[in-house]
Amino acid sequence: MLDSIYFYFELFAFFVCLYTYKKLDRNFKVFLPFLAFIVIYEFANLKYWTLWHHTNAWCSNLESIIEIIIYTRFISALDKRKQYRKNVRIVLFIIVLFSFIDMIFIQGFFMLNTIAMVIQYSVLTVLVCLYYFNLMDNVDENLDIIRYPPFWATAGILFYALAFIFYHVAYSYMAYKQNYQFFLLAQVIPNIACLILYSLLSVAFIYQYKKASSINVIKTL
Amino acid sequence: MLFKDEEIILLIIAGTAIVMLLGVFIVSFLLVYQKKQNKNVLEKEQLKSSFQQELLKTRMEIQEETLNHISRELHDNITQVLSFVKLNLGVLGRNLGENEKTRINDNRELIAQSISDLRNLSKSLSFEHISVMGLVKTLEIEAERVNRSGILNLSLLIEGDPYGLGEQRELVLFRIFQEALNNVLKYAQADNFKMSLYYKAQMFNLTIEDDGIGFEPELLKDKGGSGLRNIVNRAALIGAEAIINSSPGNGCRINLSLNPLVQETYANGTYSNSPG
Repeated sequence: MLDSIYFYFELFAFFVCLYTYKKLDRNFKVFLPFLAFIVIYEFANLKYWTLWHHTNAWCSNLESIIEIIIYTRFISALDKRKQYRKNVRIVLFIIVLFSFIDMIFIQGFFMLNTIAMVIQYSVLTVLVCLYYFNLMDNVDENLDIIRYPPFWATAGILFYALAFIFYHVAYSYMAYKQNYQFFLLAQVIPNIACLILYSLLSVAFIYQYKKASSINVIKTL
Repeated sequence: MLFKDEEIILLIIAGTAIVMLLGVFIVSFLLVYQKKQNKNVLEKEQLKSSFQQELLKTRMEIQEETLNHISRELHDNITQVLSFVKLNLGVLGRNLGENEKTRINDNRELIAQSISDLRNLSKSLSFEHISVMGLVKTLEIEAERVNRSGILNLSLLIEGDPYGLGEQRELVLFRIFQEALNNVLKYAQADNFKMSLYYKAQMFNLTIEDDGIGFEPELLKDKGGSGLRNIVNRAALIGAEAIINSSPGNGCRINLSLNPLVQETYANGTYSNSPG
């Protein structure tokens, strides 16, 4: 139960997204199909349906590519600068290309592509930091950041990416040595990372929903 | 070898904890920064608002000074000259024939009427008279003056027991009335102008209505409606809220309410140029 707690948080975030979907910003709407995919993917993982050649690493590699595409596009869409968005798209293309290179030529299809993943999470961290920097620089005068949905969503992505960096750096070395302590760590870190990410995403959806509702109330008044 | 693996695990744990703390620091920094930024913006807004108040107050002081000067000139100079002219005409009339005498007397009456009108005008411009007579009495005199002119039918309704609102407030309310009357005479093509004063224990209410051509409510937002904006600004200066409602063909209604128990700081002061 405890080792799969992250799945329940994913499920929770999915239902919150489903409930608030109609009042979500266009930028946030992408999370519904994405979370539906994540829930199905994790459920399949829990049931060992994704095992192929005694591993589900191939599946994780593909999932991490989808993840980086979704999160990168979400963060870049929060920025109004066209040139910046264009640059992020180029970076994203390079990362995805490198992920496939890693999958095919470097680490292999049936091995976890930790090199690509470390780069993906590092880029996500940098993007969130750049977004925060931009937020501080061009902050809206009446912005209440505590109730600002993109802030919570990006904070979730930031913690998620930071939690996984060191884990993936050591993964190739430790996992294939069948170290028991590392397996314990492999249970704890993803659980904590997912717990933070999906709870913060849920908070973002709820704030988005509340914001849209209050705007509707003002309009009807 | 096992020891080395444990070291790596410790490194992963420590590293992850450190970067997570870094994340906490980044998020906290943003939150604190934002909070400070909001505080600065609020302070800036307050400063701007107090500056605007001060500006408006100064403008009103200058306006009052000018009006007082004109009032004094009218009273002490022009009416005196006209009185002298009237006196001279009287002396001149003694040596003339009956026909010329009648014409001279007609002219003397016209001059007397002008003197009286000028005195009334002088009173309505002067802060001193408003201060001495009070808002209600001054408005009654004004209503009588306007009605006598026949341009407009001005009715004044007073409900409740009138009480003093303070010199500054009464002066501002009178100037609002003058601004509204001026607007009606210039643009509204109205036949009737109704003014109501409601004196309640914790609320004073002033309503000014006309049955003129009215205007588009958008005019209030435009630069063209500076007279209307003046009314709103003046009202704000005494801590009152002015609501202006109008639409084409339906006249205009200005509603102003203030709490007489709440004294604004600027409402207690007296103008340096105020006579007396």
